[in-house]
Amino acid sequence: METSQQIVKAGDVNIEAVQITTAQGVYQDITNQVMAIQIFEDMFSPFTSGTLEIRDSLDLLNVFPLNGEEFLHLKISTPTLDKGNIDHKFYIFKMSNRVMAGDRSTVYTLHFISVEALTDLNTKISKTFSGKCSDIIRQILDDKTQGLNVTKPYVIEETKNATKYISNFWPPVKNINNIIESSINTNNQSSYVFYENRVGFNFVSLDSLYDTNIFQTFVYDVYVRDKPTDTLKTTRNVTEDYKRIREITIPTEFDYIERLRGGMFGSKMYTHDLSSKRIALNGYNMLDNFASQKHLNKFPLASNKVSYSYDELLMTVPKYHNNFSDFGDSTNANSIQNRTSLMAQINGNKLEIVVPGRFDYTVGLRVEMKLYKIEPNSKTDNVIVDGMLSGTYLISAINHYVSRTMHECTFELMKESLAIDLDRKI
Amino acid sequence: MFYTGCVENRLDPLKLGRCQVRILGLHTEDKVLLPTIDLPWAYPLGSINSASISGIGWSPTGVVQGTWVLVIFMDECKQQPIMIGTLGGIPQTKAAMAISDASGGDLVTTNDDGELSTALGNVITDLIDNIANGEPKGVPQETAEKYHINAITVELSTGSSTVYQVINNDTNVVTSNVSFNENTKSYDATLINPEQYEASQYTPFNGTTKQFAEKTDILTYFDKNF
Repeated sequence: METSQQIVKAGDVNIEAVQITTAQGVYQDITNQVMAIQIFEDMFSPFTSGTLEIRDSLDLLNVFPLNGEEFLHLKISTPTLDKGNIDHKFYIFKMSNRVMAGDRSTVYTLHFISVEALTDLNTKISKTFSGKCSDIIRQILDDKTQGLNVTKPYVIEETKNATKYISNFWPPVKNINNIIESSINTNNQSSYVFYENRVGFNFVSLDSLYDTNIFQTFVYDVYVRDKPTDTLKTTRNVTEDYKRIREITIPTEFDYIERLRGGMFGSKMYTHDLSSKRIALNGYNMLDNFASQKHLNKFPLASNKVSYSYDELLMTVPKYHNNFSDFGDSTNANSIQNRTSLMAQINGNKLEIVVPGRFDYTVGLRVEMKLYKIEPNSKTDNVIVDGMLSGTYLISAINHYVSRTMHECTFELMKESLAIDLDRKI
Repeated sequence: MFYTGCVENRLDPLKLGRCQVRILGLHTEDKVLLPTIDLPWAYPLGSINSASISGIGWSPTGVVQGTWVLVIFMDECKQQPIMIGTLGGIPQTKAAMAISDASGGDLVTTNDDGELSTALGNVITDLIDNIANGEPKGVPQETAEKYHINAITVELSTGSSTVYQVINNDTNVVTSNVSFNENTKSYDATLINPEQYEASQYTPFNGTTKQFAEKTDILTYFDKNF
């Protein structure tokens, strides 16, 4: 397929290589057979995955044959962007939706996933991990026999606390998810997530993601027109086009009951220690902690008049001092309430947008949304931005959809705070 | 859900009758990957007839190393085991279990059939070549006697990492983790439970790691020093 070095319009893409290699080492470039490629990234999923829509006129099914033992080399890029490419090896694990399209071709979908997912499925660890949470994560990512054996780059945010636990023949990712539950960052927040994005693997807290620069601003304005650039060579302004939201959907604007049940506003935790027979009660309040935490926007999701009580979520955690030799309590009692509230907050405001695709978009980036009000609130109202929906969001999931001619991204965006003060005087 | 485990250490520092139990299906048998000291402490479930507080009630200290126990967990992640009862049996296939049984300070004897057995009556089987040769059980009389008189060195697992256990004529057991060190190109042996031995009995290691050029040197060393 021809590749372009220039962006003519927002959403341009170069499919440079789509190559399948069998376990026997036979390989075939199938770029010309590809109808569409989808790549999925999710901040709450450990691995990148995707699908290939194939219109097969080479009878690849019998040539290889394809049976779930093949690797896929995918090289796709956005023209002119230095960091705008995907050049990864994936594992093809499934074929579905096979349809005979006439005598000489067949259409089907190939599902692929990062090769590390294969390692995860085939590795079971039985050992005790002890030490700083971030060091254990590093150990699991690096270990060739008792870990993921990751060769891609990874980012690990240092944790403040240590833990000790036994892995009961758990796969590496289950170990990581277990550690996440008790990891606390240097700002005393327990909001760690583990995910793979375009760059590599990430073990970071939401706190640190909130603290990054805004990568892109998206505008939802159907009246935007193309503006000439300075050189007047074209009337299409590609940079502005990339900012335009093609579609926007808001599945749930808010759900008070869900927030309450999820422990967002507050919670109560009873702990009882098996050894010392000590019973303790601890309360957690979102609004009390808001000022000491980092946030995407300035104001909390709830006003100080919100109706809730600590009893909205009642937890019972059995602590066990000296569960392991030379270690105190190794449960997640110190982090569970904070984490429960923070995770409920980030799930508190979600929306989905479709924008022109670029391969430098990846999950974990901070973006700004500008949406306008339907109409001014009053004659003196000169604020045109919708304060509830606008603001800073995190990209929590991406679906890169690449056809032979264009690239489109569907984002799931999340925010845990508002740009508007709910306690302001109206 | 109930699990089955084998008691490997009953020297509870909190004196609560807790044991370190290797649970089948959750914890590997490879003691290099998962040494006894790294196992979680399992609580004994006291009888409802026992007060189990302030020193009142029955002592939950009936089990020995090698006893098989039924286990449940307090937590979802299976980190907090509770022993709810013991399971009798006649061990015949797991050398590790039989040796653990013997290692609890119980006397190793030769029974009427000339087999090496523990004070609990469990026959120690699958020692050394018996596993490889497929012999069903037992060791020859002369071998058993030799082992009883002198120290025996038992290799419990093979490959790049190995655990050796030594039973000497006082029925003490020295356990060592052995692994190959790529940097020094030697075998590193570290004793797991040195605190069980008096200094006079136990001068060779003193809790440090000792290096051996060949695996066979370890056996020679054990035979010579214990």
